[in-house]
Amino acid sequence: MLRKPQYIALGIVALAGLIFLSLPDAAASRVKLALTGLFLPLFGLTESTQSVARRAGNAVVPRDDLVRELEQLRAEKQKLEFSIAQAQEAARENDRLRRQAGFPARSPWKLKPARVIARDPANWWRTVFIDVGSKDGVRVDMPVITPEGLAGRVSTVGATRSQVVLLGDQNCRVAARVEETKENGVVMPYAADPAIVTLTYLSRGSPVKPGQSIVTSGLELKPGNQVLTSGLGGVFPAGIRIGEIVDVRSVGFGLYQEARLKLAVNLNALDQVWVVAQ
Amino acid sequence: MNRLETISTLLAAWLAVAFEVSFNGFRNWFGAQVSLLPALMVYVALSSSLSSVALLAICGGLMLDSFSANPLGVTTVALALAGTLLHYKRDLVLRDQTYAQVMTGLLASALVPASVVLALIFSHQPVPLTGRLLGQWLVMALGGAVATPLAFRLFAQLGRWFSYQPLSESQYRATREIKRTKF
Repeated sequence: MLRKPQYIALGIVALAGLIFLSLPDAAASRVKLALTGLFLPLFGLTESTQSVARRAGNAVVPRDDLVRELEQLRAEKQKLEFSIAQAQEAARENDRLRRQAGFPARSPWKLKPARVIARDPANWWRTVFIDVGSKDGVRVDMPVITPEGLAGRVSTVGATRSQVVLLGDQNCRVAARVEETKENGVVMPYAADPAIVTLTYLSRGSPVKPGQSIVTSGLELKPGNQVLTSGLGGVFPAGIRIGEIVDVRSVGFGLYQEARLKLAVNLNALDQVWVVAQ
Repeated sequence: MNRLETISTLLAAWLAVAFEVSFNGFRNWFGAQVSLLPALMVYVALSSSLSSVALLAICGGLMLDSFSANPLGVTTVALALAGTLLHYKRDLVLRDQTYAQVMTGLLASALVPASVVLALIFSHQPVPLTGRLLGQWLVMALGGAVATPLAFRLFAQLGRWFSYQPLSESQYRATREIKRTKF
């Protein structure tokens, strides 16, 4: 049988659970960020160890390989300089035309590099922690990207750390557009596969029959079509790559269509990301 | 459980959470992260007091939830539930047998995530129940079952290193020696 001190211990747990579960979201986020501070020494140690291992690995790379890689990078840099010059010219032209048409000027993105320091231990959520916070100018709802495409958005911000909710999580829905057909939809999670998301609420096509291509707004929606952020909703800027269509089907008794997308970013291998300050 | 054991349990919980948030191997191999806290809870529940169970549930649960999108405190309640059940029935468990350790680890590692998911279903952040989630739950249960005997061995080793060991008694006693004389 349970004795009196044991009842007290159980009561303390129940009380603590109730108190923490009933905290308002903002307070709970602050407590969570404070608790993650307990792990900072360990993250620092991990970073130092990785840095030492990387330096040790660099020390044994043959000089010939380094010289070859340097030559490749120089050639690539020259190509990129030409591309940048072209892009800058196009941007200038775009600005000029926007001014003439009376459109507001587009502000350039400010990219803040960040490193993924922790992942959500619960298997049913898809969030990560990054090592930048409000001190670095990070704010809630800022998009997080990689060179391959969109990764997610900032959900909670601490002074030196932030939580990012990734694509495919219940709490990350993105307004998206199919590049080829200009069809708009919403990216939602797809529970069966973490590398896939669903693009839904695409406008209704003609009834699907075996062998017949699906038609939306007079344009075919095909596997391999690229999907980008549409900019609707104001959270994600337009034009960030999300993924490509795998297949399309008619849902909601034919009211609208749904496409499965293969994400452009491998979210399981996220290491270095960029926070977009618009 | 003495103070050293309490500290080592909390340290193990801290390391377990750090391992879970930074090691991706299980996610990449099996599609799910294995939780080590239920295995630790089995050890504490079977070899310590309910106060230690409460301490581990509060500290471990809060640390785990701080890195997660779970509501803060939900893992605390789930760990406390598993720990209390095991502690209440600890006299019926052959805690030194590996088989019993594996089975209690399986039970606790299945019960904790199931309780959390059940709590989330009734919250404002419901988790969709899918086949993938079921597979992840099985991986977590099996992973915890494997980790539990390891936790017992780890703490037994720590006990051998940091506790006084009883001296082995010899059968020979000088006071009982029969002195041989002439007669």
